[in-house]
Amino acid sequence: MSIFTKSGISLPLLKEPAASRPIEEMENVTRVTLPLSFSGESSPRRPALGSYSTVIRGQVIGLPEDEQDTPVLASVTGVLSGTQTLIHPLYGELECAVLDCMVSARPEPLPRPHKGEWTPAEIVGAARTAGIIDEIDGVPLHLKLKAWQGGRCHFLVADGVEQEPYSSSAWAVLNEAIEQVWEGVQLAVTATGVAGAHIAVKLPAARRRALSRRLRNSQLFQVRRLYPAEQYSHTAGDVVVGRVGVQACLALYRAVAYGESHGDCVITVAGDAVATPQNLRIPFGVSIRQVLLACGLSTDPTRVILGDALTGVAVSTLDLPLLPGSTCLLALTEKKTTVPRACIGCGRCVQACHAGLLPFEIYRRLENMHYERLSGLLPEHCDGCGACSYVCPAGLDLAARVMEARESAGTIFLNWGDDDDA
Amino acid sequence: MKKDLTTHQFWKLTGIFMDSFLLRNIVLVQAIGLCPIVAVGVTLPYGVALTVCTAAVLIPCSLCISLLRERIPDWLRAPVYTVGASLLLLGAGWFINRYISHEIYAALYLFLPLMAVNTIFTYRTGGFSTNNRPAAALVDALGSSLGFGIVICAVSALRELASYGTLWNIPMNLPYTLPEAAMPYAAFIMLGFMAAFLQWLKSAVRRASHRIRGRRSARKGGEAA
Amino acid sequence: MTLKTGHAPYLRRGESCSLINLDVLITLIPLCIFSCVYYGLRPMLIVLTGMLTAVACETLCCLMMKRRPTILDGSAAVIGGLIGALMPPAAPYWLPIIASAFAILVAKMPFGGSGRYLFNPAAAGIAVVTLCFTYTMFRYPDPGLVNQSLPLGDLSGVVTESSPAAQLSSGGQTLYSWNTLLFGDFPGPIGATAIAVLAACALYLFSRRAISPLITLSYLAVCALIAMAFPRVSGEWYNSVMLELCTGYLLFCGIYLLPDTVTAPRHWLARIVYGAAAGALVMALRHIGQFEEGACFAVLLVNAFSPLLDRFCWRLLNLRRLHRRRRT
Repeated sequence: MSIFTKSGISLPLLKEPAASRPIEEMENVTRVTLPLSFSGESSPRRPALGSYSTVIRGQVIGLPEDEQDTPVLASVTGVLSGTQTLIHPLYGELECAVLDCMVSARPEPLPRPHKGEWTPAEIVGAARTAGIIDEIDGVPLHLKLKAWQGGRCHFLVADGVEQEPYSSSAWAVLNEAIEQVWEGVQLAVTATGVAGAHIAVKLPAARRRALSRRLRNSQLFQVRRLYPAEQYSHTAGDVVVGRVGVQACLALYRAVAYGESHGDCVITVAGDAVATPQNLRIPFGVSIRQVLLACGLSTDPTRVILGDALTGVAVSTLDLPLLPGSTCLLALTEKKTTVPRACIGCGRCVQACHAGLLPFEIYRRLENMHYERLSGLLPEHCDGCGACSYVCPAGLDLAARVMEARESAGTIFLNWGDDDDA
Repeated sequence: MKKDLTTHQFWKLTGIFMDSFLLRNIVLVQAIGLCPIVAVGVTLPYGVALTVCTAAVLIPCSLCISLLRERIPDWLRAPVYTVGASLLLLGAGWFINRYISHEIYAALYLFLPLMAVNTIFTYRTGGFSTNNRPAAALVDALGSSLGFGIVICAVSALRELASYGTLWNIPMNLPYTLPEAAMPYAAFIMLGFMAAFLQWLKSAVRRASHRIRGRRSARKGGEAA
Repeated sequence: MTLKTGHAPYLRRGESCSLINLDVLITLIPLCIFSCVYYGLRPMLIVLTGMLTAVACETLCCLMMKRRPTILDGSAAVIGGLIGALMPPAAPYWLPIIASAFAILVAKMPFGGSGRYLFNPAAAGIAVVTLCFTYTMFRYPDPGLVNQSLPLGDLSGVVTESSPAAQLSSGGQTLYSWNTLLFGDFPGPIGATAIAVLAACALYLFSRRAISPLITLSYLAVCALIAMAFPRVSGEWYNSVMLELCTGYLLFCGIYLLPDTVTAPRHWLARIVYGAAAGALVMALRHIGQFEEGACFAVLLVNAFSPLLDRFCWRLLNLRRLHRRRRT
């Protein structure tokens, strides 16, 4: 029966050629824009320095009101030239500091004197002062670690799965420094006191073998489920699994071992409009335009997507900073636009939905304006994976409508009028 | 002043009539009383007989109910409608049997008792007559039974033509006949298309009136300028 | 450079409705060819007549409704083709024309056209001609007796007989063996006799995911069970099962009419229940119905319940989630 009822979809792998190229350092950074406030925070951080003062990489430029919050650190060495307010499609309105860059390269790390055992509080403190932000969800790492302390989490997974078609940054990071990532995972385990951890990947067998040979004890876990596989763990039942990004683990290790601040991330730049798809190490706050220019454009893209093809957001302007929380940037050209047809009832969306919803029924009720009967279909269980839209042969925007139903949560009110007037 | 009042009342009653006759036609819009049409509305004489029966029961019933509306307590209303309607139908059946045609009576024999508990009566009398003045109730009953009549006559005439090639038992010399048109599903299909046609007609009229009103207001605006 | 925005995902599988319909049309070709081997070119012409009528009616309707013609999605051609394939090989050409016209003009377009109809238009078209022209619908030429092609025009010289399905329902003995049944060497509708070809088509459609195997399999399973429990022919149980499944257009119905995506349920449990209900109805109609084959009526009946089944089965499987939600 599972053949007929399995949920999830298999996606094409478009990771090549970016995945097989080494990570490039981004050069010619002219300007970075760093947010002084994060989403969900009431008050922005105070600027620590006045305008036109010179900052070096890792220097604090935004002080939090609360001592426990993350400070904002400069990701490059340069001159602070002012502040700017911009609207980001993921985080909403942001108050940002603008830095004119002079040197963007990462300085050679200086190893700290070996101290022996680290206490959990010290590790969490190091994560906070280094300003580490998890790349898979954009949440400061020390908050996540603190939330998992005291038995509230049983197992830790370093998420390098990257099920979506284009992104390969986690694999590139693992390829470059899997030993350091594993050290970071160990530190996170110490900080949270969980029972165990592994690095979850979804890789071809040859690559996985090459990686696991570099780790002494094989802690690579191959995810075999179809997209979207959420719980990357062989543990089951009431075990709470904490997810942490691979790059965040690496940053944690470097923060503890070298005292280095978290100022850059590896991002996959791909898509059919990009001349050389590759993984690029960029300082935070670089604008999309600079990154695309660094990789070169073969044609004018019709869509630029922040994030990967299934869950990303299409941006309307290229002057947006790349902030922690996204590991993929796509520039796509679309040959033709497809006209959506009526639902033909093939049931592919129901098979694809891993949350066990009826996307076509939610879509139909929204179209027919049966808003009062939406909540009985549990749209709040949707996590926006986009699998239903991906498989729909009629080309309907199912995922967007289900998300709409989820956001509204039964509070759609309409001015009922005479429809013939329209 | 008094004249204004009567014209106002006249237009109001006309509105009620048109409403129950066409705009909210009891069969095509509210889908009430389908059973007699589908089962018995096979030839035009049957259709006319059913129309007469319905009118003969609905009009006096509505009138009585609207006259008595305050005096019958809520819980007694449904039985009173049913008993009244069945008494009237008994009379109508006897009348048809005795003076019109025994054949029609034989065909309607099964459906006359069913008409007594038909939803048309309980719906119109319970829903409209109890809340309105006798004049309005009378006009509504007239409109409802005419609306029912026009639909059943149209359906039964079409079915008679198609299945027997006759109209009011007069042979029409059609090249083909389709005996299956006398089956219930054909009536359902016909009713569906008639309902769709009515909706189309309504929206066309509404669109036309919008256009005229828009033109008039544009002209007025031009004059004002 | 202007950038388009829009909703995620920005990558689609690129499968389209037309492709699914095209798959169904492709599988009709071998069925027609098989029929042509026995009866000459006439079956092909009947299927083409049905298809052309359906496409013409759909174009006419779209023009009347002032819409862009939707014939390119292939749905009308599929409906017409299925109707043609269910005609007897010796049918007059007006029969598929009437059935296709009814299917498109009454059962498909008034409900909103492709993707919106409630009842399978092909089944509705067949049901109407079955009711109106019962005799013509159930008289078939014998492929063994004819042994030559049917005339393309006048049919007055063609000898027709009843099908094994009729012999089953009248209680007589049938003389058809396994291999005649498998290769369609018995009287029956154009596309519904070549059982081996039908099975291959079904496998193709399953693999292309054009139809759901759950529906077809549960339908056939229930039909076989009933045939086993209430045999209408003497002999071993498999004799009864084989005859019931292969005669008439029971198998064709389970592959083409019943799992038609628009009218079938979408949820897996609902699909199983739907197929099983249709199977029970088909066999019930065969045993106590007026006609030798009532599969199209069974399809129309269960079509009415498919949205209900979807919702009900989904609720059944999500009772705990719904309950938890109500509590909070």
